[in-house]
Amino acid sequence: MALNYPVREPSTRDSTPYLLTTGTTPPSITAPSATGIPGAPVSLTTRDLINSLRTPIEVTELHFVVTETNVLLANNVGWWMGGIEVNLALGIHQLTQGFCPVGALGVRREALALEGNLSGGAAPPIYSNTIRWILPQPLIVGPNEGFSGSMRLSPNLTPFPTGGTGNTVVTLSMVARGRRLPAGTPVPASRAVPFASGWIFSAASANAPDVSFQNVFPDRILHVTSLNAVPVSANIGVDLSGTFSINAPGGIANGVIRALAGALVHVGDIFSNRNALEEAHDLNPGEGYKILHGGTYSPVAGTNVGISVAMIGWREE
Amino acid sequence: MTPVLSPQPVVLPAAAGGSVSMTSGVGGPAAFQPGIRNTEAVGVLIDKIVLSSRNSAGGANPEGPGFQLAWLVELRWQNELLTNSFVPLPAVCWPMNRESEYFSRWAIRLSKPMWLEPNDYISVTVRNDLAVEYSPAAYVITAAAIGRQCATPPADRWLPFLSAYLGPSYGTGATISDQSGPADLGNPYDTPLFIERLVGRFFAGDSGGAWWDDDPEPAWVPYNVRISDHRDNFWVPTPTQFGAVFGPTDRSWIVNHTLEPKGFLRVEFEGTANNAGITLPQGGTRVSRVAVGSIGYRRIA
Repeated sequence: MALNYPVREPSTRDSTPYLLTTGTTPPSITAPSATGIPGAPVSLTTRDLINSLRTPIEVTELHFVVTETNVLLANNVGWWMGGIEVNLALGIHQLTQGFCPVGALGVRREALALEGNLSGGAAPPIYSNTIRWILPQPLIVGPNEGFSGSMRLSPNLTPFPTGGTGNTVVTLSMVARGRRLPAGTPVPASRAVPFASGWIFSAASANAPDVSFQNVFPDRILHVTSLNAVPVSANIGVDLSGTFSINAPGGIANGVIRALAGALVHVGDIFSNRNALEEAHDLNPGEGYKILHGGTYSPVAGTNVGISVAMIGWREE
Repeated sequence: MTPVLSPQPVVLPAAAGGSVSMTSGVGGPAAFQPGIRNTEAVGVLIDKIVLSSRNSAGGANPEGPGFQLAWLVELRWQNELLTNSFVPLPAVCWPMNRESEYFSRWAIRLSKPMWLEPNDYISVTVRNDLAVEYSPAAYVITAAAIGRQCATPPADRWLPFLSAYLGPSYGTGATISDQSGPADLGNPYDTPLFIERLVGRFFAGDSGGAWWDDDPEPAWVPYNVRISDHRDNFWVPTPTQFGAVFGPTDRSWIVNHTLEPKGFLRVEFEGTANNAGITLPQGGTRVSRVAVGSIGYRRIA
């Protein structure tokens, strides 16, 4: 099980650090003011996310910067920092199972909470969250291959109830960070491709309260390296302060669904250090985890807080 | 069986009482003489160099927020510069995590440990080129090196080399357009320079010349950056948000790159400044600027 890949030694200038990016005008979406509206997905695909070099790129991490502008303080409009989800692919290889909340892709200190000033200046200030997804295995991106996908606002978090104008603009920048491999390096016939599936649990979840994260690939093993959970808020995004608690997920054994716990357990007890798994765990096709959802959200009444959960792993393609 | 003991940790405080006072306002240089000396009986492998400041008058801001960009530091060992002349201290420091990094305590974590034989020393000179936010106040600067005992010189000896480029300041609405020069983030030596990481720092300021931390401020969002080397190999081919290039928590990008002799990096900034999110403790007009530093090392005989 190649979970621990060699740490790269300082390389020569033939191996230049390199970024693929959504560029200076990253895609944005105008947040709706009504509750429970996911909003139409917006494409993330640009040619700048395509490897235009003649050599492969080895990508080791993806950065997401969620930025909000045009926040009108007077109206206290509902913000959407925690509700951003992405649906990503590399060429024909899916990197996420449908839409996955970006807030749960970073663990421990890889997610940075609100940056901004709530009492800021006269002009509408800017707010941002930064999340770093350190890929479980380096991802080889061949020439002319690229990232594609879309972003949306989750239907499971709702704007702060006193909001109303719905003119908040949410922008998502994505950066694939890695290095270009030496000229002549071929794309390997078999390569490790990361995979994430996620969900935002909240009191407003419109869908089933229990969610399964499964190995959806019919013919290959999924090597799960982490099961992340972070508190999120529609207002401020990733919340590292832990100012609210949620009595939520447990888990049950159900057919091929492996148990995480036998009963409802406080979320913080399962996801210590934001990650429920101490070791990597292989899932055969169809196997997975089920997370139950229950309890109450406190101290924030309403529906604008939740838990962003993601299962992260990789498979051979 | 003989137990194997891990090396003895060592803290080497700067000489002359370990501190140099600098009054507020533009001033200096203030040098630690003779600097950080190895007072151990054996050699020491130095892992990091820490500099701290405190307001000697005490008061509400004993650690002096707003002080850090004023710090330009120069490190020397024997006849060798360990920094590219004077460099802004924050631009060559990266936080392990946000909680532990306090406004006015900065640790230069060396990419490779530097061996210092007994009685040898590192010269530390601090200069204050910019106004201090909370004036008038006298600041006491302390310095120390932290490492471990190592009786014999390691087979491979490394010297750190730190350099930085500090961009100009921009007011809201101003067009950001600037780039570093060959001497800013370069390899001045005839031997390869190994760059472990680039550090990206954002500084908020007021029109009075005070500058302070980058952490809670989102005004870096309009700053876009491109990076290439002297051979026009692009590292960041498309102008990209400053905060997306450099990590969210360590403010850096581990690049592990070998810069050939006389090679250099070119950092270009562009965008339209928007400083609306900056809080002004003392009024004035909001301004902002960014810096990129490189932390690396080279092999010596």
